[in-house]
Amino acid sequence: MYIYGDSIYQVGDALVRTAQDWMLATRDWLEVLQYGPDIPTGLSRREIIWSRNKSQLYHYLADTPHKYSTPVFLVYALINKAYILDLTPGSSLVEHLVNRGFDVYLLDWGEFEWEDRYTSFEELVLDHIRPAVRQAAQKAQSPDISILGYCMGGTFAAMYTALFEKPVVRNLICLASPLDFSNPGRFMGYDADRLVDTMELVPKSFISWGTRLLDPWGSYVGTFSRLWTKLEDERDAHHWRALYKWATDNVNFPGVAFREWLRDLYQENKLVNGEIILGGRRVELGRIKADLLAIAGTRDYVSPPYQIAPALQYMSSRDKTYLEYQVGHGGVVLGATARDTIYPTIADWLAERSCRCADAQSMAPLH
Amino acid sequence: MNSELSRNHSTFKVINPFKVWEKLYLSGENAITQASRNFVSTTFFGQAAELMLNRYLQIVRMQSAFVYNVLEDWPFPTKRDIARLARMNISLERKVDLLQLELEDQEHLEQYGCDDARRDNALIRPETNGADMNLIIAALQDIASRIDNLENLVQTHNQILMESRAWSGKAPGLLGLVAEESRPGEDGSLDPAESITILMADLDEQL
Repeated sequence: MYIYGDSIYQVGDALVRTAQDWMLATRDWLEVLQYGPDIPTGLSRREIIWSRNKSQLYHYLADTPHKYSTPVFLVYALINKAYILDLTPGSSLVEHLVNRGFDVYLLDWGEFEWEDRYTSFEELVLDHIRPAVRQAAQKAQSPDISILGYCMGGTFAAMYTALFEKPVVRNLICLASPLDFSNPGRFMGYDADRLVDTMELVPKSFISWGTRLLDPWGSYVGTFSRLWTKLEDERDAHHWRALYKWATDNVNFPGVAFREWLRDLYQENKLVNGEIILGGRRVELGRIKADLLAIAGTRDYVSPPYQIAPALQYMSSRDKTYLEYQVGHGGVVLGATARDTIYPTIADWLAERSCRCADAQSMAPLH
Repeated sequence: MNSELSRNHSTFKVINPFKVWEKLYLSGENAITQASRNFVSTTFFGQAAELMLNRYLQIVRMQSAFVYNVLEDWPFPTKRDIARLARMNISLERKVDLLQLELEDQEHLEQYGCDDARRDNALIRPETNGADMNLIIAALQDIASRIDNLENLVQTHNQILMESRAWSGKAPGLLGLVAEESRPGEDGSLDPAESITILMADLDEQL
């Protein structure tokens, strides 16, 4: 707050140096915003083992033998892209799980286009998640599987688990996944039908606008001032850039699925009431018997804890774990808390509940 | 330590306006962020946003209807036409996938004598709702009470038979009765055929 000096010249020098530092920080800030090179993301070694339409199922390759024979299937939301789970080396849930000896698979929805505007929950769960889970289990030669869903992906994972028994879903992890919409939060009574009938395919710009509007100052101003502060402190902006890339990398939302998301879940809370019907079968959370881990961020305004914790009572699992961390929606999978606390917690929880390979030392990686 | 010493021995101490502004801004930003979050949670904001959204949708609807109607008569494919083509492609891919699945199941059937897909379908839990469950529970309770009655009846008859056998020096019980069905009525014991007739009449009554 103060500048000290033995003479007025020294004080003047110090003031000039501070001004220069600010100018340099501002120059770098503009540079990053305008000309910063694209940060490479999703760098973990992988192969594509299944695809349908734009969906792809990645199998992550390990350099060491797997310790656990139960594969881990990751499913992401329809907003933004799946590389949030494998952002950059050192900040990747996928990398952490692979290094801990798990056989990891990730379903990437791809980018929905105009021809996908009629894609519904039914199609997503029955025609994409179901065959992808089956492929993952076949590839891993395992009769059971662990499913981890982040955000909306956790909601889909719960729907899938409630419907299908084979391969056996041994563990279900819902990361910041809204399930109980008794309190819909900030998603108020927008007319979903009017919106979808007009747009058909909800454009990515609208999705971006909608998510930023949940935290207007933080999204439009705060995020950039955080970058400036980082640069002024001469800290690396690499992670900020990776996160900003992901946050602004929205995808179009299929209209029919958007209608179901907004009307059936946020406005009518059909999931916990057992009123969602997929492929002629009712989705009842009570049918979920897998071991359950739900993680929420106390500062999460997208999937607040009150949309996660109450849903656990509807599931029949005997082994239920609910954890809260002082993070926001992205902080559950990114940042220091995620890296140092949440990743290891997930891996430990899974390790206790997964089948170990008969002889991990002699068993070659399954690829 | 050195810097503290130099601070203590410094002649001049001037407020750094840059740092003051930075501190003020950053502390203010948290308050503004919270205030803006609270504001977007209000009903007023929700209603205003809905109003704006509806006007925007109205314009988009008019615009797309106009463009679609104009382009429909022009010799250019619209995005709907292209999407239709893409959709056909996706359907074809799905069909190939289903065929592949069928072949895999066939292969599985030949190898293990079990159709994977059928086994999948068999494992899908049947559709039930609360009302169905209540009916099932009531039926199960009815069956359980009938079984209890039958057990009581069998025990009663067994007791009678054992007493009658004991009177005649033999006590094989109901199981013994069935085993000895081939030689009825010896040494004055109860006629097994007669016992079974009585038993069946009681069972009919119970059922």
